[in-house]
Amino acid sequence: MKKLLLTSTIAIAFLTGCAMTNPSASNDLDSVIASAQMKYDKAHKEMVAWGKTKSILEEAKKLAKTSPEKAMKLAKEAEYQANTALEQSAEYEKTWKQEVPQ
Amino acid sequence: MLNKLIKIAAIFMISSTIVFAASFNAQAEKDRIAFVNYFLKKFENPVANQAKYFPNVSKKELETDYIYPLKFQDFQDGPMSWYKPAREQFAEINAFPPYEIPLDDGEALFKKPFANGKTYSSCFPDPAIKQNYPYYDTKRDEIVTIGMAVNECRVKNGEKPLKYGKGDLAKVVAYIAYKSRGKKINIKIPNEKAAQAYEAGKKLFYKQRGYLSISCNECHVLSSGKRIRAEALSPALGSTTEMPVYRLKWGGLGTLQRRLAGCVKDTGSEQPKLQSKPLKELEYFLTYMSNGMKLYGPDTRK
Repeated sequence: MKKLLLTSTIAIAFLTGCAMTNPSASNDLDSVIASAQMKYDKAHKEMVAWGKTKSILEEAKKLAKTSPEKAMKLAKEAEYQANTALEQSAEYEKTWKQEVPQ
Repeated sequence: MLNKLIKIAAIFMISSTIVFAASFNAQAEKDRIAFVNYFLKKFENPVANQAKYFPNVSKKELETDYIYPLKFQDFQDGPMSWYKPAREQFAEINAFPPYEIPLDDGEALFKKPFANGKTYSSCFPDPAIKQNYPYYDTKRDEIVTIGMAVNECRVKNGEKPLKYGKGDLAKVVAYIAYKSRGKKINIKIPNEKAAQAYEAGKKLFYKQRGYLSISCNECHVLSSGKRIRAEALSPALGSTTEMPVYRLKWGGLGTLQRRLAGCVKDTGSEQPKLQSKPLKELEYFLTYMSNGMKLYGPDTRK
């Protein structure tokens, strides 16, 4: 009985620890969201942002407190999309004039 | 002596203004001529030019379904200009043009007095003006579209502006377009800033974007005269002549800006806001490319 109680206590303590917000994880999420936001803003300004980046980023912000893992995944996806859009835009900037009929 | 000096100065000023005005559109004119020639050559004889322009279209389809040679004004018909099945379908649809009822509504709205007793005629005494839109307003330093002009007229007369893109605004624009039928598109580039706006629109047209990494150019220049599944891709040349259009997909009238915004979205990009600076610049560039072509809107599209 004692053993069972001890095991349960340890399990509860462990699970509680896991469920608690890890300050450093929270900081990571905040920084990924901030980075994604910055890159999205730049892509938006250059008019090259992808169609769903903004909504993915908004969803990440919404889930930041209730579901940080999911939020992190979404924030990284938004950051990836914005980054790719900017990289591609820089590439196409060099080549678009070749497309103009001469 | 003084009179002579004044005369010389006046002549110099007038001639330099003319020279500078001409130089602001020098690049745009060069672009436009190359643009028009590309389409004329491409659709001169698709069967003979198969290897160059239509490598993935069968010779049989080129022989049976393509209409050619196309002349400048033919491009007003979009996909119906070159694709027989599309032309046959649209001939049937336009036997009773779906845009007629909203066009009648547009005429009624145009003639209906505002609360102050005036009508749109107070701003547009002659509604046959669409050939001059969009234009670059040198005092305001911005492109003015026909939709903006309609809403500015409303505000000037104490009315609320209409929602852009569709509804009553598209109906009023349809009436103006109808009254402008037969007028030749006449877009001007009056100064350096206008030339910059044109260049920005050109870049938006040619630069690839979105998660599909495609540009307006890829579908409506390079792939014009081809199909995406069963749908014939329309040539960019002449694509502003028929606007606004009754689009079957929309189930109503829509303006050029609405169509352009949808097209940008189709590349996988964020959809630009109607009347936003980039969208107006795109409209300015694209309409300039069809300079000299007769208007014939409104029309029907899929």
